[in-house]
Amino acid sequence: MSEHYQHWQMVKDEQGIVTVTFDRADSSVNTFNRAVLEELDRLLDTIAADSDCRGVIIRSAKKNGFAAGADIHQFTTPKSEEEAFQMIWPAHQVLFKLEGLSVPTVAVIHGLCLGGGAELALACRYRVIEQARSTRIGFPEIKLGIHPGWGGMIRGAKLLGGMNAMTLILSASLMDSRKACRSGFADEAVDQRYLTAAARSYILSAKRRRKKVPGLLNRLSNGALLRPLIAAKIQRNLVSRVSEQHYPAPYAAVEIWKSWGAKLDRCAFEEEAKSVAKLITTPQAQNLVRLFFIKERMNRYAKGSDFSVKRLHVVGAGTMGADIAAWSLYKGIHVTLQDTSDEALSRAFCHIKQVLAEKLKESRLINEALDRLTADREGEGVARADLVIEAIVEKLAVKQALFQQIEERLPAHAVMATNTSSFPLEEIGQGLKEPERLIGLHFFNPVAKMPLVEIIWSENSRADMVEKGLAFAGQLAKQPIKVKSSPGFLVNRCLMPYLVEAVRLYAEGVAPSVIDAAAKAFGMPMGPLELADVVGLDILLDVAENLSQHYSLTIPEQLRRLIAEGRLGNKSGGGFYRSRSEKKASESSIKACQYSLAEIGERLILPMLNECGACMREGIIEDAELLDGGMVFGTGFAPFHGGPMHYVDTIGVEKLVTDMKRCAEKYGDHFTPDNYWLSQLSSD
Amino acid sequence: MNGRPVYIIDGKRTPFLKAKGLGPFFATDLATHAAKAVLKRMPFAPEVIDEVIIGRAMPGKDEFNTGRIVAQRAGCGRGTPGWMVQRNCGSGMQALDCGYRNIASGRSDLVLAGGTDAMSHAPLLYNDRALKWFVDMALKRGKWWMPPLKAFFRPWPVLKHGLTDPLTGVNMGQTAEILAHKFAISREQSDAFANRSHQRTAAAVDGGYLTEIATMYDFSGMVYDSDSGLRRDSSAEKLAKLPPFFDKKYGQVTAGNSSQVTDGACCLVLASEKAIKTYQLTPLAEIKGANWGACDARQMGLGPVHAATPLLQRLNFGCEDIDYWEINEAFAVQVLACLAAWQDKTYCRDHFDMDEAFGEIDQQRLNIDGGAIALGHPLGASGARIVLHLVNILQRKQAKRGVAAICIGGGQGGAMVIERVD
Repeated sequence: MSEHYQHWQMVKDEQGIVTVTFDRADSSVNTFNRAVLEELDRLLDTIAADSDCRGVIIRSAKKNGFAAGADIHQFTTPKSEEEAFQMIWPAHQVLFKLEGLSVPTVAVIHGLCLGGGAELALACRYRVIEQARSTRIGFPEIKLGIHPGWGGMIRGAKLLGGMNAMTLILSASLMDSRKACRSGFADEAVDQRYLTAAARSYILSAKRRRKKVPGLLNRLSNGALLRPLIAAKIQRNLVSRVSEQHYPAPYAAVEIWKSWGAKLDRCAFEEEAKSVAKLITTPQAQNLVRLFFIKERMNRYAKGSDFSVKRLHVVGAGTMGADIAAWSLYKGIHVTLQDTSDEALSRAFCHIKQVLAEKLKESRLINEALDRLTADREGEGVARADLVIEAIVEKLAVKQALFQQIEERLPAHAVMATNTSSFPLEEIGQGLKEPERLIGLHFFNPVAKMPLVEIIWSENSRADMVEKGLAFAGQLAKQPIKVKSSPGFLVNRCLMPYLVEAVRLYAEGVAPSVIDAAAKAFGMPMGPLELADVVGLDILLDVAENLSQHYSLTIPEQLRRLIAEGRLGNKSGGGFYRSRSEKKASESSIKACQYSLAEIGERLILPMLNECGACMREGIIEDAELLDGGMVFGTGFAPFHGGPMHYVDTIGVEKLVTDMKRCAEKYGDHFTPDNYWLSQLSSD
Repeated sequence: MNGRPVYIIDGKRTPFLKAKGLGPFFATDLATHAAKAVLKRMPFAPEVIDEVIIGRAMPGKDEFNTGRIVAQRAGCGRGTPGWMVQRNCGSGMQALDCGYRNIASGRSDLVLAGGTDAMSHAPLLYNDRALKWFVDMALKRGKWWMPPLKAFFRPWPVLKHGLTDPLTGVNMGQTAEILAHKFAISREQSDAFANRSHQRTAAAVDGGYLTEIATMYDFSGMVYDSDSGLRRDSSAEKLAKLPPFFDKKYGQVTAGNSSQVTDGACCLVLASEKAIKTYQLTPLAEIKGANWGACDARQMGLGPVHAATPLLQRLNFGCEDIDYWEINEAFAVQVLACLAAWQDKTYCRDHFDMDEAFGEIDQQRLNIDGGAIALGHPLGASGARIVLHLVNILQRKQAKRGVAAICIGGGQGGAMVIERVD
């Protein structure tokens, strides 16, 4: 075997075991494109023709994992369903070939094994995985608006059992090594040093190995008797979570399983490929793919410098301070947490332990993370910190005084950051000797769940400090976005008109559930009033009042009245909703409303889009793509629309401006289109 | 001792928590907390520490080499060795002495040393009969089918046996009774001493002098910011009402005039001149010498006399050269016996070859902020605590020289002479 491959290596040892190593050239991650698959195809032909071959081991030469799936760049190319199918189907042929080899095949998996990578592994006879925290196996396709398309649906159902497979695919969650074994995906999880020995043992004593079979219930769930019932149940669950119109992929996935189950039939594979071909050309999938690339772009910003924080000093042990501390501890950073109150510190310690327990589960790991935490009433941690974050009360003078103290003792390389959402950097930096070291790191609550961090810079900020802020966000595995210092920054500023409009609708007498239903019909994951209840009405008012000093934003009296009544949201007294049962909008209440859902949706979304335009005009953010990223990852703005700016592109600026003008006449000046949109109109 | 000079840079300790049921922290938790609290004040990264030495009298489960565990947990990294030393009640001072010697000899430059014990978590062991059955059971031999049920209910408490000398069979309280008899010290004198310990500690707390305490937070919302053994309502009358605890009929040592069973830890940073220069440290005191002495186990309370006297002789210091004394208060009568021995011409002549008695220690210069009777005696930690607090006192009083000394179960004593650095 002397053929030369660009992306694969093939070595046969004296016992006749062929080791095929996937090592995609020109990339640090293994992904599949046409060339990679063609080579694999050729390689499998060689193996099939080799009568000495006793077995095949497939593994990866990349450090970070086995394979991350198909090359997503390909997803944007097909123009039609037919073209997409022609792109997908050859991969099936290769996997059929692999599956059809007469010798045992073993996938040796470490690190990430996603989508197409997992599907390659499924076509092998055995899977041996590394027992490590870094091992992550799953099918994230749903997040891109498609479902597994290289036989993962069918082989997955066969190997894991229908119910297991559907849960894994629909949730797009990743399995760790333990779960991968339990679910039946992997035959065995072993330490890294035994991977080769284990794989060889499967080949050399293949007959003695019992193939893993899924549990009885899971096997039965593939059967013709139970399958339709379970599929119907899954479908019902889906309806309550996402609409088919917004996210067709999960529905299509259930449909495939419902009609084919785990039948390893050529027709089934063909149907699966066709379904993906259809999905991939939908605007929803294309928008989700676009967001994927925006996310990658945001992550690249975090890699701009090799700065990493070893010691973090957090001032303020309130909700945000504790949350930032907890997440940093989780990411391996040593944290000193400063506060003047023992009570706040002790509450923060409880909260931090809870967050870590939820993330790490094992008590040994929890304790290890907690050992990195030191309470620091005296603020001594500043002297050795790489980065200091302030998250204290929103009082300007207190913040200024604090930063002046910090500056005295901070090492020269270290960054000063504020988590403020109310004050511009320029004001906080007044009185500092080196205000250029101050940046903003605006985290969202709860930090463990919110993927976005706004990195705030002002004219004063030194470029390397901003770079370091971006790098820190990357270290925390968050998506950073550079935002110019101005009231509300990007996310809060654009979200507020939307929330305020929702309150205004409420003041007009529209039922909260109807308002939220309209937002959800547009594609928001959560309605604005539901969100307000989670955030807390008092906090909402604080932010709104602060913003209203800078922008034309009138706060409806209704909000103050609710607060005066002690209705602060979920935390006390209920907010717009007083019970869970009120949250569901009934058909009759929608009908009874003076506006249609579409009208309400328009009234909610337009002010937000208008503010996005204003941010673009003021240069708050670099470009429209990043604005989309910020709004989707920061507010959950309907991802399948691809973000607010992309949504405008889809409907057209003309329509936007016309709609806004119409609404301005009907509902008030705050709908008057921003100059940005008018200028876009004239430039078109 | 010859060698390079050794300095105390800083130190911190946990609040001493009186054992009322199982304490909230294990001994390594306590030591790690003290270590982190002092390391966070240092300008260097914890990784540059050369070694971590922790003294401990009663190791518990999963913590056999507490030193190495603390080194790791306090963030000193994989490359920092750590070890544990055991010299009963002198363990904490032994750790300091080991660090002192390694720096003086040039082996180390930066040492984190201290002591810890969570006496409330002292293990209960199976007795020998039960143990034998477990071994037989594992090997399937002997009468392994017949478990000695009674033996399971007769555990071997480390706390109790640790406080009894195994060779003479005398427990610590009884050694104090022996000293009371030997030096004719009355119950009233003991109680007055104990009462004063509480008063002095209360005054130190109110004066804000216990700056070495680092507040602890557990993860269930409790804050521990002060020593919980202090009784501000203590009085001679109340103490007089307590029954003798060890020799119940005719004795005089009560729970009130003995040190308390307590959980706590204390850690200090020791450094050479080289380390001070490299990291621009500000030393608080210099260790001038340390010494260990021994005597009859039945009179272990005189340990401080047997350790400190030869040390002072060696360094050429007399009683009047010492500004402040910290003698650990295992028992009120035991400290008083030490003072008496030093004033006893015969005792000094017989044991130390002196022509005159060593002298009278001014009680206004002895344990001026109280001691273990008020704040407790976590065996492993106390030796380090008295040295740290002595540093604190010398700084506060701008005084020059002090002696810290401790008595050790089994008939030993440890002593350390330190001088304040300007």
